[in-house]
Amino acid sequence: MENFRLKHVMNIRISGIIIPLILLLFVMLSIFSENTPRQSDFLKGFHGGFQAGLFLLFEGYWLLSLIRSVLVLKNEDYRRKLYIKETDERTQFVMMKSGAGFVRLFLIILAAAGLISSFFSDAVFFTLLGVVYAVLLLKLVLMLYYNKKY
Amino acid sequence: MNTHIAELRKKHKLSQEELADAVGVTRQTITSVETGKYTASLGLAYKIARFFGLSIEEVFDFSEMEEI
Repeated sequence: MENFRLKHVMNIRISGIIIPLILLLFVMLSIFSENTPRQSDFLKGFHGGFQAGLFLLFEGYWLLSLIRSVLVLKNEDYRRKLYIKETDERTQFVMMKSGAGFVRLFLIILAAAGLISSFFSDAVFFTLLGVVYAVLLLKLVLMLYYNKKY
Repeated sequence: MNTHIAELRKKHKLSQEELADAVGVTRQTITSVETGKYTASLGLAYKIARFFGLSIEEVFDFSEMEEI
């Protein structure tokens, strides 16, 4: 439990760096994006919306994480409940199973999409093929890592 | 895997939530272990058995385990 508390102390410190950093990055990206020529107003708006959405997602995630860590340090009951929730073995088992299943399904869908795209667009086909190889490589690296670890 | 957790819980007048809290897992995990949907790890099996003051074999039924 002490390690769990220390993990959240560290999380507060990291959040203190990351939250302003994301804000700074967003402002810089917005300025850069404003000066980048786009093909149409629609694309410009789309990119702006996408960036703002992503920024809100990251900022929101880290803010929630900060609030949670502060609560962990202040409230012992909440700390115990969160500790049980985060270390629950069945939850971890479900996460592992769903993660492995997701990668397999993702690869099948990507390969199928690549096959279909090969009939009408070379660019899309090679992009999807690249993603399939990248995911396969990542899976292989992780499998080797965990084989060595356990 | 079959277990005697539900009976032991009733005997000790404990809710799933109380047992879960005592052994450091969620209520859903206790439900899944009781219904046989999830097999507890050795660590959790030990904690549950120790909580009731019994051995692992007295709480968990290994008779239906497949022999290789």
